[in-house]
Amino acid sequence: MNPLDLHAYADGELSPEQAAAIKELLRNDPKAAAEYNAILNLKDFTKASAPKLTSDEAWKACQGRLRELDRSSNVEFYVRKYAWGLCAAFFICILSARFFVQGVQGQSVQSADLLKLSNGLISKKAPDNSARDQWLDGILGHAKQAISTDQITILGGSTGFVDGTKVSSLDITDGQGLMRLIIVRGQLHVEDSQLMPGSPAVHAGTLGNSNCVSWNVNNMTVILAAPRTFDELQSIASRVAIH
Amino acid sequence: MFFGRRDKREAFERQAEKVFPSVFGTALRLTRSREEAEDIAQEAIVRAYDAFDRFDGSNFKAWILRILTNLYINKYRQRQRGPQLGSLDGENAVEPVSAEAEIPDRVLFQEALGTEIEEALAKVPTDFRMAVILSDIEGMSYQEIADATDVPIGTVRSRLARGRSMLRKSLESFALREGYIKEGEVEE
Repeated sequence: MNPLDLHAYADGELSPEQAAAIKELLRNDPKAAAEYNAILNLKDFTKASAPKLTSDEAWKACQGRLRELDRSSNVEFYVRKYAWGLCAAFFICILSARFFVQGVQGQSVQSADLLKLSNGLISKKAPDNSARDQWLDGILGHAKQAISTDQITILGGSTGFVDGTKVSSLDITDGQGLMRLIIVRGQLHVEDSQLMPGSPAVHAGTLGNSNCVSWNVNNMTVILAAPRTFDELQSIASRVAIH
Repeated sequence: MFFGRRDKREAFERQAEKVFPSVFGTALRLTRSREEAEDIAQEAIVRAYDAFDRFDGSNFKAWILRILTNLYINKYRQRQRGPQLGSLDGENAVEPVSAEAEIPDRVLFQEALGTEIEEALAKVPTDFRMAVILSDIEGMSYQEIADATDVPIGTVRSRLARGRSMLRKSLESFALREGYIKEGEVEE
């Protein structure tokens, strides 16, 4: 007798032929029958006495974990599916914010940068003869539309690109001292400059050690700088400016 | 997408809740530690949920217990590696359950308390205990146990016979100690 067959018989794991053989054995062999009964009793006892071990808490923890898994899967799914869309939307938000800020505040420029812009150019003396207009066209180009040169005396000037920005600079005088007129392409706002009282378009600020006034015209910024008071500068500006 | 996942989870939870006592009970009987049992049972549930799409729909309990036992074998037994009893797997190692004595089994088993079976089971080495738990408590077939524990059916048969023999010995000591049976009642 193979004792394993008795266990297999008790567990219902034998083929009908094998089961019939064991049945016959049990009928004729009391020792095998006792062993078989012992196996059955042990099985019954184990099944009946083993307490039901469970934990609601553990099951709830499992449910929580499954929900958590679903949540992260959903997020993962949407991120994977709409990643490009989300990136594009984010990028558009950044661009919109930039344009909004620019629209509200205008492009700001620091006075130190303005000085660098104008000082980076080498000034040439203005000719006295008939070539003066041509020379002025060369210096100002389109910026000529931004100022009236009839009311001022032009001593010299220069033009060029400084850090990629088109800049024209004129050294001018009204008979009481030297002034500098800077025309920069684009609408700039001189940092820390304030609107002058009574003037909706002219800002007052400083450029290096000099006071300056600035205004925008035809998508250009004109800055007049000299060691004068703001009122004097505004008065000169009103003669130079084309509205 | 949301509803699909929720439906799947609810379907899974309906089945898993029914078999959770088996999952948790088996985990507890294998690890003998509530914390570890909770961990391993939860891990088994999560893995089963992940693989639920691949479940063939036949026997959910056997399937999830297979996941649990594999997890236990891979994760916990490596950590708790101790003396291996593989040599006892051989058929020659099997002792008859009632070889030495005609113990009055009915008395022995009916008088014993439920907790005693747990204590007795705890004394059975893991491989054999696993076979006894899966067969006699969880009612799994030899083939299902073989699949769950990754061993041939022959090994399941010998482990089961050997495990039952060890379990009975533990219970005999208990019955003698507690006075359910007397020395004289054990026939030579």
